[in-house]
Formats: sequence, structure tokens, C-alpha cells
Amino acid sequence: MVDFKVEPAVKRRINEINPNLDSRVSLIGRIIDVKEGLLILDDGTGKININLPEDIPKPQLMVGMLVRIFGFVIPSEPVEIQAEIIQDLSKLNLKYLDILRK
Amino acid sequence: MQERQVARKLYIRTINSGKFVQIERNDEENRFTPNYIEINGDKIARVRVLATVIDKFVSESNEYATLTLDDTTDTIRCKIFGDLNIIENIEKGDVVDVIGKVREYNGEIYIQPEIIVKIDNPNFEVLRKLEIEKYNG
Repeated sequence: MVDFKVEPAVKRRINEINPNLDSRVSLIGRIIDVKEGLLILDDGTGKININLPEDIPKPQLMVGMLVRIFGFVIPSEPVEIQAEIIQDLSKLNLKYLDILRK
Repeated sequence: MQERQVARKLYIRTINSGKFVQIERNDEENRFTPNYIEINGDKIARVRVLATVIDKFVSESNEYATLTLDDTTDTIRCKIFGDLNIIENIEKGDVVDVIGKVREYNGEIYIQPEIIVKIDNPNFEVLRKLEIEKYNG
């Protein structure tokens, strides 16, 4: 019996996140602000606060950077994300951005 | 001699949806036939998965390790026994391309990796997505 199954981080646009259905999500967007322990991500459908624990894998975060974030949905109002992993997507050819998001 | 099967590029969701078949090795004919998962009538013994490492576990004895992979369709574990050099440079958050045999234990389908390559270029993920969708529908 499998008792350690981790739910996948389903691909979502920010305006699609449903805290009643989604526990882990992956989001692709641009960083529009970075503060101590927090960044704001914009993917063109909306913006969302991403909480940043200190010990997660992440690149040097900069405003304007294209990133993918794996994280847990926090069902607050408004919804926030607790980041698990942040990946730098700066090398992505932007022609393919929509393919990667689907 | 059993021919080595090509590793099929698949989403993790597809692998986990397969039915695992354990080969009875009580006759000469099946001696080298690998176990496999059956997906839409295809018998797949070797898979290739591109995914993010969301967890890495190494036992205290350094003789056993697991990587948990997430490709956003589902999650699956890679189990490594014995020589752990294959995951020496792999960390949580890395995107990896894994080639390995499918195995099952206690109801869990997992991958026994043969090759693990770290992928730094996200365009590679786009290519893989298009390949999977072209060849698997």
C-alpha cells in the first residue's frame, strides 16, 4: 500500500488557483517585487504573494526574472503560496512559454 | 538473448496509470524477460522521465537513497541501492532526465535509475513535452 504519495504540483495560472482543490501548484511568471521572505509573482492573469522560507532551493532572485515556483497553496484571503522550490527560467525561449505552461 | 528495450519518454501520470506485470522466471524462455508496465497494450520495461526533484533522501548507511520526482502530472520515486554516485550532484530543485527500469514494491511503482542527467536549459522541457505528445497522443 502506498502511504507516502506526494500530490503533484499541478500547473496553474494564478487566476485559476482553487484553494479548495489545489494543495500543491507550479506557477510560471515574472517576479515584480522581492522583499525579505516574500516575492510577488505576476503571470499575466494576476499577481500573488509567494512566501519564501529561508532554506528552499532558489536562484538569486531579481525583479523581472522569469521563474517557475513549486509551492503549497495557503487558503488565505487573498490566496498565497508557500514556496518549496524556485527555478530560474531565464534561458527559456519566450516563444515556448505557453507550451511550457499548458 | 533479450534485446534491451528502448526507454519510452512518458509523463509520470502515464507510468503510474500502468499495470505492473511481474514475470514468472521459472522457465528458460522468460529467464531474461524484464518486468514491465502495461499501458494501452504496450509492454514498457524502461522509461525516461523529465521532472523536478522535490525530495532527496539518503540513508545513514549511505547504501540506499530515493529521489522524489514531480513533472506536474504526478510524482514518482527513484530508488537507488548500493552505489549512490549516480545522485551525488543531484539536489532538491534540480530538473533531471532519468532513464531507468520500472519496478514495483508494495503497490508502489518506482524507477530504478540507470542514468540521471541534470538539465539546465528549460527549452529541453518544451522539446520533451512535444515529443511525448507527438508519440503518445
